[in-house]
Amino acid sequence: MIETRLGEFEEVILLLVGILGEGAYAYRIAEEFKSQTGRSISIGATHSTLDRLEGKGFLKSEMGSATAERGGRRKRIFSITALGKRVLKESRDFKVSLWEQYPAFKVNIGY
Amino acid sequence: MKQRTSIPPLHAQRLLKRLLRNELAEEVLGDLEEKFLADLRSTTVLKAKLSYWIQTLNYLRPFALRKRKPTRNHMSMFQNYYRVGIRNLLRNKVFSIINVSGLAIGIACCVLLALFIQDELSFEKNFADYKYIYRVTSTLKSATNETRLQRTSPVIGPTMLREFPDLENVTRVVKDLSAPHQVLTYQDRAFAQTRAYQVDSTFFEIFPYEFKEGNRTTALKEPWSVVLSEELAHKIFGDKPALNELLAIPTYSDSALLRVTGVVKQTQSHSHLDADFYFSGLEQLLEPITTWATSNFTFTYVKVKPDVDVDQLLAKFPALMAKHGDEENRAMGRQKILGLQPLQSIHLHSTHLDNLFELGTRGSITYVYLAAAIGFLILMLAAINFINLTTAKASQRAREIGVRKTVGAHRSNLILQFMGESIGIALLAMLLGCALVYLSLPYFNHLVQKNLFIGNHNFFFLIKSLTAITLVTGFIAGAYPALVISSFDAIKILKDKHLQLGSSPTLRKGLIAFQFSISVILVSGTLVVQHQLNYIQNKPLGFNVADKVMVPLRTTEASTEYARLRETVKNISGVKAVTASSNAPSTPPVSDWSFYPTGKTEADAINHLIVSVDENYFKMLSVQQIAGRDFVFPADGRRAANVPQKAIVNQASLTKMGVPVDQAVGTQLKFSNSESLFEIIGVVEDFHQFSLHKQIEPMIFLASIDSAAFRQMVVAIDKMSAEDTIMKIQTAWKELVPDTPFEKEMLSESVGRQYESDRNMSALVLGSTLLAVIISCLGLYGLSVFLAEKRLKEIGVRKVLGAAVNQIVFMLMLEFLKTVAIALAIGIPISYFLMQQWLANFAYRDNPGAGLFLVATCLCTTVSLLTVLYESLKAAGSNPVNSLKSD
Repeated sequence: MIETRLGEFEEVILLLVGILGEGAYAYRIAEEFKSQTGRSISIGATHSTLDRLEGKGFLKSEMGSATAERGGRRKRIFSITALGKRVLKESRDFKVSLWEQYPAFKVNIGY
Repeated sequence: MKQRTSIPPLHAQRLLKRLLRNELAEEVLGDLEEKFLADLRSTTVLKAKLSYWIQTLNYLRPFALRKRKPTRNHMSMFQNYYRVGIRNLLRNKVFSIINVSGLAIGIACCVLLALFIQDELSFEKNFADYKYIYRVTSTLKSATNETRLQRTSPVIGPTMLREFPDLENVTRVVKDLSAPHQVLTYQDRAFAQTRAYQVDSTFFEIFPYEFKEGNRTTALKEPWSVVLSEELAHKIFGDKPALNELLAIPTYSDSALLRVTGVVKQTQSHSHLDADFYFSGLEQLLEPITTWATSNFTFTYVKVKPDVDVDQLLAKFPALMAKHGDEENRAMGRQKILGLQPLQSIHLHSTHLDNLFELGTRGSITYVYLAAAIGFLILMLAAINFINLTTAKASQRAREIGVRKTVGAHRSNLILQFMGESIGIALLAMLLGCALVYLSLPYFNHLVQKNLFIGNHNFFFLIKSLTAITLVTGFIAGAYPALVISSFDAIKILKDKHLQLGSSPTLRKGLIAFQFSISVILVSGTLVVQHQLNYIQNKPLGFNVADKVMVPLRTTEASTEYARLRETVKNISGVKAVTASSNAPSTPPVSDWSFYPTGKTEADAINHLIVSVDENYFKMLSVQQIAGRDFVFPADGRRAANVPQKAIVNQASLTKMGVPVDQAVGTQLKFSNSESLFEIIGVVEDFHQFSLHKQIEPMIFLASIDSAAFRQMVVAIDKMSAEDTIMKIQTAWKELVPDTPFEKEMLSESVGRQYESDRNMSALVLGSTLLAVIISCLGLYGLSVFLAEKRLKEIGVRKVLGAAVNQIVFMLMLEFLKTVAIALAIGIPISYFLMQQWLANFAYRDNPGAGLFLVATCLCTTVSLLTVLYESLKAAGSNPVNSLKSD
């Protein structure tokens, strides 16, 4: 039994952090989530997930530079750790292996 | 304007800053502001702000919020609190003892009074349907006066049941009102019982007492049945069954025997109808009495059907009275108004009714309020003490607080510590208080003439109230150090050695002033009560109570033998005189008959008490004759047709009828509703037939040569050989009246019994005053110890600079004197007002002068000064070196 330790929402957020790269901070991630999924999400909820992922060691964060747009306040920029990358990969592999075991879809999947 | 609206909502920002973890605040506010600005570009300001608020609220998640308490093991800290608390208690032993014992006394006192109140309020509640039971009252209204009775004519109850379908049942109770005892004999033993009621056969249907023996439904169906109380049954028969035994009641019937048909189980709850025994046959006894206006001696109880509107029922009463009794009432020159009194209000709310006859001992709601007020006040005193001492002591622990804060105690830890400590001490006091209650309950029972005990019926009530009292007191006492001192800056506490902490002196003085006002009120109250009782006991009653023996003539046997009895008793050495009357002073004449002088009309008739007397009645009681002559026997006692009967009246009668004293003799009186004529041959000075609670009522005395009219023989005896003489009278009695047990009571005892409830109140007030003063003094002493200690250095410096001991003592005492003065200024007027209210109960009272309050003032001041004096002397006498060398 593989332990993924990653929920679906967490996985999406983790991926978004990877996609956004240097620009990954809570507000930006929430916006990206909305534009990618069409679902609206509060910054607080996003931040809560980021915090949890950081606690699990999949993300790390540091304070970025200040911008005038934010009243001179700094951003917290998140980035994926090596562990985070591995967990993402494992999660994908696990799902792919599951997909492959499902006869109805086996043919259509081109891996 | 645009500039202003583009700022995110300030309140939301403030909320975030307050609640979010410090390290998060910056980025979160930044993110939210960025979103806000983005929103502003796409939508309206209002929507952007709304969205900001939604985002803000969405941040209230556990991960983002500031952590209140670091999670850690508190056990060792609690152990430390406990140890420090115990050490503190032990270090200030005097303080602790005063603190705990004061509160314990207060709690004990409060519990005792609560028991008393609960008992008083529990009356009649044991009857399941008590809400539907009412007593029929009568108000007799004439042009000049109004008498309210808790009784009515015998025929009224049964008639009501017949005519009003709203009533479920009716029962009547009669007590031989002129006799304090009914006598019950079994074989050759006699038992005098004070509470003996003759009742209708329906009595136990309305009042479902539980039966230990016999059957409730059939017990009183037969005439000549008697139902005993468990206590009396045990007294007569021991452990043997009482059922079907035969008893005699010579005071009721000379020859007949009554069969025991039931024994009523003893219960914890009370009713004014609780009796030693009940006997049947009332229906037969009352049947011939058909009057609707007079004979108001029957206690009538009705039970209404559950859904009946009592007001509607009451509205039917006047018509009923008019239908049956109109003629009679008109002839009497008065109105009779029937009313209903709810059963549960009989015990406490009957003071407006005639107080001469009542079944059971009547309580008074005033006493209940008084007890509640006293209990509350004493608890307040004790709680204030506790609060004052605890807060005063807390200031000594400022350094401890400083250190605790320095090593990282959060404010909430300190609050917990101090609250816990003070609630803990309060709990200790509560336990001690419970022990005190247990020990003092027998004495308290004696004081209030009750049989209170702690059992299933009040256990939970007590536990609940005790816990509440303790928690509240502990909480308030702990609140000051917990909330105020803990807020001080640690650096300030530790750096400034002479920082004045502790509750503000004004607050403390205020509390002491309040405490002393209460003491002053109670002390002056006690003095006023004692003063009034002394006044009552020493006020000339208008007759001489000393050395008179009253021998009730209960049976027909006794009253027929009176003439021979008199002659025998007269010749006993040690007997000065013998007379008899229908109603000696302190026994109530049953009378609601009215007289008016010829020449006036029935409308002017005045209600009189009628007393039949034997020869020498006035002479023996030393009642002054102020006009006319005394009765001449036997001439004045004879009754003949067409000759007015000779009568003597009292002054009150003349005043009410409007006849001047010099014209009184020869005035003829008509007796309403009859052709009989009476002629006044003499006037006696007013004397108090009843207690000084009541005004002297008009009285008319008739000479009687028929001894059947007499209910008591009164014997004046020589004080020196009283015991011996009474023995001889008893011997004579046994010879002449063998079948009636001999009873006697000193007239002074009988008169004194009328003030029993006043004496109880006096004892209650006296006791609580003592407690209040003790508690106040404890508090004052504790504070004086504290203050003297605090000013020890100052005293040292003063002494070094040459102050004399007396100057220092004076200085220390002055501080307390000021507070006491304020307390007096508040307490005395309140006390004066309250005592006026109490005195209004007495028709005859001596208004307390300023002197009495002066005495109270001096007493309180002296006691408080003496309390403070000891510590002040000790502080002033101490060697300044000891207090100053450490600096």
